[in-house]
Amino acid sequence: MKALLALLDNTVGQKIITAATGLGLIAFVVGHLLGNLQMFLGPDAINNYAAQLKSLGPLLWVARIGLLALILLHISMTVRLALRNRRANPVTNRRIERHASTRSSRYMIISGSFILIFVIFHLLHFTMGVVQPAYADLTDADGRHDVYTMVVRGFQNWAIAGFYVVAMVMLLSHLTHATFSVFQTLGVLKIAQDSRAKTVAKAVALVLALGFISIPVAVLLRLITA
Amino acid sequence: MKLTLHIWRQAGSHSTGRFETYDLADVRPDMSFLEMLDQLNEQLVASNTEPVAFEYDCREGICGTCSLVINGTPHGPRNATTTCQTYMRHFHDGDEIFIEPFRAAAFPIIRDLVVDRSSLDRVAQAGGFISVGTGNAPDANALPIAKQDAEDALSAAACIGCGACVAACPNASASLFTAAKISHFADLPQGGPERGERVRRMIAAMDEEMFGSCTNHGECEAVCPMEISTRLIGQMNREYLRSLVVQT
Ligand code: HEM
Ligand code: FES
Repeated sequence: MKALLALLDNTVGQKIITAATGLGLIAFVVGHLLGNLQMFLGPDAINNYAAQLKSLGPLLWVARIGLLALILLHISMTVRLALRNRRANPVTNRRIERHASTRSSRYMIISGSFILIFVIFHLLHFTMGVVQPAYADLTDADGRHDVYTMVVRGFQNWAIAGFYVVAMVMLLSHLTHATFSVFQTLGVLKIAQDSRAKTVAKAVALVLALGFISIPVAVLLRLITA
Repeated sequence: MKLTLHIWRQAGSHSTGRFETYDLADVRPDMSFLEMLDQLNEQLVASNTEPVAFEYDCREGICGTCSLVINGTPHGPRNATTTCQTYMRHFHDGDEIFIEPFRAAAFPIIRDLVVDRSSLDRVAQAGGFISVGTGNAPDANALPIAKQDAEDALSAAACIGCGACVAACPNASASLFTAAKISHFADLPQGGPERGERVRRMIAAMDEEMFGSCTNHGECEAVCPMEISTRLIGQMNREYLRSLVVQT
């Protein structure tokens, strides 16, 4: 416990917390994608999956609170470090060439902020059902919450589907740097210092983002219909 | 060859600086970059203008005193080369060259192109040393060291402490410098007694000097004249984690 609190005292420790929480969030993103892709298996699969998650009861709340803690820790550390970094490099009128950093690595705070806005919207939309209340409380033939229809109806709205796609492009940008950076920060150097590391990270980010994007796009193309 | 130089001029740490433009003729390709600046200064002195202040010592690429951001890159266009070892043959007749100091909040400008890099010295002083017994020098090879450990320590020790890593970093982080000073000792038996304390103290000193934090952009490695690898930053983080669980 004392060792964990010591992490908060310095920038290296704070960065390690960023990486550890980021890794947890990546694990969540992977799991969430695998769950969501069941939209392609039809109403029964996804409604059943949703009902099973709900039936976890208190465990579900433990997971939710855990996720919330990860996000809050991740954001508080990154915002704090980003503010510090801005103070450490206050000179703006200089010409500096970039040799190694990428748009993805330089815009982490912007992509991250967009993801945060998205997460809040997403919870209001599908979890709490306040954005489109008409589709939020439907039930299917077996009396389960009809998640399938809620998602299809939701993405038939171009503006909403478009917002989800843009958010996932932001996730792509965030994870392109993050999936490499996390191994470097945690000192898993066999992976991070491999010459292919950044390419693989980009590919992983692309697979995840395209996976999420495939759902609203499939709805708009009428590959998935209610 | 003929050059147009845009050089950052600033009278002191609290004055505002600006780029001044100078035309310089008769630059020979076999001149070093610093000799080119010497020639400019002779021209400036001859016309009763204050010469440009810039730093150097060895002019051999080993001391880490020369600096300069040349056309946006610390130590200029050549990979793995200090400013003093950069020659005018790497430029062309008619080139415009922008010359700026190494910038960071932790590197206040003293004058023109000279910045105060003593913040790096203070980070090194916080832990870049080992305890040795006094008395006669120990026998060579009395202390066996694995070949790889010796090689790694030597690669880290190549850091000349010039601060290009800080100047290149979008966060003005001194992580590469600090990591090199830590890795220099971490795996050697001589560095053992202070191992945990060293990493904790050097990181605290780095934070205290208002350097930024590492976000793994990799700009430092790209400009380092000694080709120090960001691998060492990952090792520093591991050393730090280790220091939280292992005493010394
Ligand atoms: C699904 C959600 C998210 C995931 C999976 C995620 C993942 C990650 C990972 C793995 C890292 C790399 C950590 C490291 O190298 O040490 C990272 C860094 C970062 N994240 Fe996130 N993150 C998420 C959401 C957010 C949010 C909501 C913000 C809010 C502002 C944010 C801001 C940042 C920043 C600023 C960094 C540091 C960038 C850097 O060090 O270069 N992230 N993220
Ligand atoms: S003057 Fe010594 S390294 Fe350049």
